[in-house]
Amino acid sequence: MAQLVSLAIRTLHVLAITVVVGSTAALWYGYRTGLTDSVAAARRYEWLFWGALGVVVLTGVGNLGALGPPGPGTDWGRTLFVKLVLVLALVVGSAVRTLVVVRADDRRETDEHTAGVERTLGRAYGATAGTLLVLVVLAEVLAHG
Amino acid sequence: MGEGDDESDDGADPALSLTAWALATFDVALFVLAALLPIHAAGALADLLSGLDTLLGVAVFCYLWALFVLAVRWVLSDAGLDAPLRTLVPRGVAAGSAAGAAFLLGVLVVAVGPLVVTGDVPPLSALLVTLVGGAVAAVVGSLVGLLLGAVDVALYRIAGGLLPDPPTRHDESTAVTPDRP
Repeated sequence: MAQLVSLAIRTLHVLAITVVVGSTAALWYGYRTGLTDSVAAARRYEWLFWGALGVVVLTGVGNLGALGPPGPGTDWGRTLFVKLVLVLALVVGSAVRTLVVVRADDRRETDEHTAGVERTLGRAYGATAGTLLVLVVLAEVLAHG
Repeated sequence: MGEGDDESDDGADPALSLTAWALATFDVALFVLAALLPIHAAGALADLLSGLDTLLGVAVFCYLWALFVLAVRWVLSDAGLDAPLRTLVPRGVAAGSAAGAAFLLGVLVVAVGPLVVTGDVPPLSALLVTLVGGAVAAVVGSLVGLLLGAVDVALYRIAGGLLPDPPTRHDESTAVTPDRP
């Protein structure tokens, strides 16, 4: 039973990360190329992102409990520390990004202003996607060495 | 909040704004990570987590998450993050205090409730633990509410600074028209 729960937690963790990475990359590409030209898509994404992030944190702690992480003095422990710091940076940066979306949606005025907001959002989603990719690599190192 | 958050075009429950949902999840994630990092740095993470059943951990996290959502939604129900601090601070402290007490109460009901029913723990002792623990949890919760509220407001202001400035509108009533030669 414990193994089944652990497998379910790991699966949920991977699925939530997949959703976050895929949707972030898609939105970055959309704003960068002009395929996405409104803040509405960003608003929908932010709802999804924070739901998935909650699941990632929840299942991430569950994974650590199942693995029994070695101490911070080991290579594994140091990698985990770096990953946790990066997750913290992602969470803080994403809160700012979401609030940019909310404030931009309040302000929407002219086309010129909207274009400026879209450039800002494109950069924000690019930074988020890049951070997520580094986190995926760190997760691979933790899982497979 | 005057933020257009309650629009139904994003398919979300209009009772919960994007700001409240995002900040509540941000706060709970920050709360967990801020606890995990020093515990891991001290080398005590394995001992802490090995004593926690996975499903119980999931239930505790979901309960905490729900309390954060309710607390942040209440704080933002009458005032946006651009409201004066004298409005936001008391609400943040009150919400944190209530959430802290509710968290402990929920844990005690699940952990101690069955023991009281079976007679293993005297009801008076359980009541005493609930009252003292509830008071301590309320104080801790108010401090957490104050700190996280300060972080939320700071991030809101940073977000405002990252947006491009809105174009200034041409006010025709004050414009000078060269209608004379």
